[in-house]
Amino acid sequence: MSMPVYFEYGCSVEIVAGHDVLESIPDILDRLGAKRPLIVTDKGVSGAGLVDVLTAAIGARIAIGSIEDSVPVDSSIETVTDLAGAYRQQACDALIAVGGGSVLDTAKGINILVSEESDDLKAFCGSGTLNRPLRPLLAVPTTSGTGSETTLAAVIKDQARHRKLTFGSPFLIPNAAVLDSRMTLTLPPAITAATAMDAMTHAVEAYTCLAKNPLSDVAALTAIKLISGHLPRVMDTPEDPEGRLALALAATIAGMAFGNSLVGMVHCIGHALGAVCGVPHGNCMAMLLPYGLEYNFHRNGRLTADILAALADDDTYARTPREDRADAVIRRIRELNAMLHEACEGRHPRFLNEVRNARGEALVPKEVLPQIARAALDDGMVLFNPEDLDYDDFLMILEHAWDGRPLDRSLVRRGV
Amino acid sequence: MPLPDRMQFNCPVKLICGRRALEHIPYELATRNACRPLLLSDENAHRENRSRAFVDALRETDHTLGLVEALPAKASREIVSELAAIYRDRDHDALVVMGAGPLMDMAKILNLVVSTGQDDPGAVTSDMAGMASRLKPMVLIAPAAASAYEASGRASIHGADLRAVGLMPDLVCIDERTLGAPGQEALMATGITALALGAETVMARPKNPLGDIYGVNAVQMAVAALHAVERLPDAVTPRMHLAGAAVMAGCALADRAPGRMERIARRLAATGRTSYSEALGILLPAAADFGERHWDWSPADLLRALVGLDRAASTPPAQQAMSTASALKTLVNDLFCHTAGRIPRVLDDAGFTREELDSVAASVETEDRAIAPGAIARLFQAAWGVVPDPARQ
Amino acid sequence: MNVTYREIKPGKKPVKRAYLAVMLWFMGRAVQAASRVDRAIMDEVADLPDDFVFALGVAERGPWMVVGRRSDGALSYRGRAIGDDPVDLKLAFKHLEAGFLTFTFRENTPVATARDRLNVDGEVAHACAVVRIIDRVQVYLLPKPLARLAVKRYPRWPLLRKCVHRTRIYWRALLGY
Repeated sequence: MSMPVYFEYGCSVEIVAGHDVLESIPDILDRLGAKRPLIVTDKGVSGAGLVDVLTAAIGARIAIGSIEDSVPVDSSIETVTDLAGAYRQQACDALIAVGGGSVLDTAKGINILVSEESDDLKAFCGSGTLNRPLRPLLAVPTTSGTGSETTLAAVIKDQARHRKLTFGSPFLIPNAAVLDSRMTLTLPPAITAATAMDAMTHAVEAYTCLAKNPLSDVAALTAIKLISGHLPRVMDTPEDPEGRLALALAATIAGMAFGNSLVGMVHCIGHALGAVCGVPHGNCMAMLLPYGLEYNFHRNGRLTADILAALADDDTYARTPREDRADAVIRRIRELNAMLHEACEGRHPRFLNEVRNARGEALVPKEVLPQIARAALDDGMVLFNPEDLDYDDFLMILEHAWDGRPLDRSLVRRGV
Repeated sequence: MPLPDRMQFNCPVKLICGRRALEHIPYELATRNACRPLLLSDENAHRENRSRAFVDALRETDHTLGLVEALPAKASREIVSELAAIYRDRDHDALVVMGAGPLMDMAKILNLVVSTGQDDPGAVTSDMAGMASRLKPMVLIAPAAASAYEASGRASIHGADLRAVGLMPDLVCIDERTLGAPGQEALMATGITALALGAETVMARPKNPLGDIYGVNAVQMAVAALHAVERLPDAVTPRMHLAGAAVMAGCALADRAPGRMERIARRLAATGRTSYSEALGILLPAAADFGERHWDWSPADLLRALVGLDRAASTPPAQQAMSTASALKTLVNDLFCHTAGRIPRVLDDAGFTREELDSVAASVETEDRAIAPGAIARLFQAAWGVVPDPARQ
Repeated sequence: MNVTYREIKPGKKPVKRAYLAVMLWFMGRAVQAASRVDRAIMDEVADLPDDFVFALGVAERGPWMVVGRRSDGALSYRGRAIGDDPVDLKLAFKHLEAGFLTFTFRENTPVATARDRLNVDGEVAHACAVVRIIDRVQVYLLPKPLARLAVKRYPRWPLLRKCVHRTRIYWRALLGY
């Protein structure tokens, strides 16, 4: 095996996963010296009855300070400040974030304010501003995709200035992530598909981009194997707790991988596509992942080939000629998307021209592709992509992804 | 991959590894609000003047470094008390440990003492370390020759064994400048121990994919190093692999209770016939085989880490467990050959008598029926090397 | 047993610090020059906010290269110390050795970032623009074998344009205008 010239790896969050692990939360809080948690969530989660599942599991053993379900789609300073007020008013001593990335980012923001006894979140923006442990924070993910329960960053919107503030510190990592299959059992098929492909993209990019390392590699391949092995089953049988647990665990393990090795151009374009057209992040990842692998093929095709054993199985890997394995990976990801498209009755788009909103209107008109390409240039993940990209490259990829045709690899420019 | 109904894992260690890794330590300490580290080194590190590289890495920073070097291999409560007094009197705010085994045990207890305010090192308990965030920052600068327990959540001092996630170092640094230059035997012992501990993590049940991330890496790195056995003492890469393997094995263990093979190897080593690492090396191939039949182990899960993706993928599923045991046997046999018989392959090579093995089998204190004396005796028979295993007849 | 304790204040690395200071000084002046010569860099600068200031250097003690956007749309080198003026974007190597690796062309900016040696403090979009500007300047400044180590994709530029621009950038950087 080869060791990178230099790498870092760490994931300090305690992970508890299983079919009835919500019941462990009082013990975890007790170990952390906390007695009265504030539950932070959003209306979607509480409306789906998931907070009730949580409170039924822990309510008898612990005094819940308050349940706040006002977190918006994009976390904001105002929400964080309001909820920090609720935390103080209810004399809470810990936080439980129940939901996806926005809920967890909000909880991280609240934790900064209540631990640092401040009302000015902006003062803690950037990295290196926090240098001591914060209050106990537990994450209970309700989707199997973002992996944000393992990361040390939070993004919170400053609506007054139309800016996104980034916070980064090892102290922002939750103390524990509690993955309970009950929390994702009722996730609708289209969201299950999109979030699973989000996690898949985290893992694939973590394995094939520049900041990879031996630990993130094993994590990434584990996540890919879990997703490819269980996603089709869950699409067939949504209430399969084994499959749901496997997907939840895969998303967290993929989070551990990309939290350390970061991601690449698929995320650059995906973030831009989300910002410009409002396409859900998981859909962006699913559609763009094959294009990312095709664009970087000349740089990391050997790594892409490795993925085949995890994505299919050992036998398929061994039976596929060495030079065809990377292509087989790309083909299988497209086949997976096609299967999900069918299973979700068209609500899992395969190409940009298939993306529709709830009213059936096209979300990505071809005219906005230049705007998306320009926005993609401003995404930091481009640094970790194996091949460089400029505006023309992004546009070329977007045009292929819009039409739904495989990337013409002869158009990929290589350095001299 | 069938998953158990419940999985739990926690490894708060951040690993920094490679070129100029030492220079990252001041930054990492600063993010943990520390700028007055106390460096502890053992006699080997002191003899090789390894601390110089760390002092060099601190140049151009605002850190002030305290040094206590050449600490003895045997940890004692008196020394811990003395170090605790220095830590407090000199206003230190972090520990940096440059050494292996007993020194790290001592440092873990010391960190517990200085973090909890408990004055008597004999009175600290695992519960006190239960909350990682309460302890002061601790950094391990990993050597190439190690016990493989350094990064784990275990510590023992004067027969008292502590086990808690909070005992694990916050940061582990692997840098070629501080690997040390130990002899081939010490390096091979590290490789075998890391291989065996990592392998047991991956093969044993219940399955835990989170711990396996470290277990697989421990095995991959140990195998890479042991294959380069002739170059071990001289080349940097195999020594980097060994340091990495030992750290990964420790992280995979975290605060887990000792595994079955680990317990039996301890008892074998207690006879004095063989070292702990040699006992693990003897037991590992036999345990892979025996474990599959009697302990619900899954040796097939280890094959890729041992032989690489291409060879593992080309092995039919029904042959993977057997191939794992076979690869392990080949590895141990090769080590026997490379060391002209100094590293035993089987119990017979180590000179055990039947009576000794019977008494070892009876001495493993456990409520786990899978390693009751009769079961251990059957494992020993498989690891004996002369008489064929009757279960295979 | 009485253990022996000693305390030291680690010293400095004056040679490496001086080398980095010179490299950053010249790079700063070259960035200023290139912003008046190269069309693509002019376009990048045009998208940056008015009075935007960025700094590239070593965390805490420096040295730094501080560059600001002037009202006429060009960049100007503002020296090697971060003063009291606000800096919108800081690209800070975690330690002197990390900066030294980059400026001796053993690790390029993306690799330094991937290896967690470079901290970005400020808007990510601005950081991307600055990295693109610096990459382009390095292509002008360095001979091709070195520049290929410093950037991910060495561009296909017409030889005449590269030679003319390179001469103008060197000349302006040396004279400081």
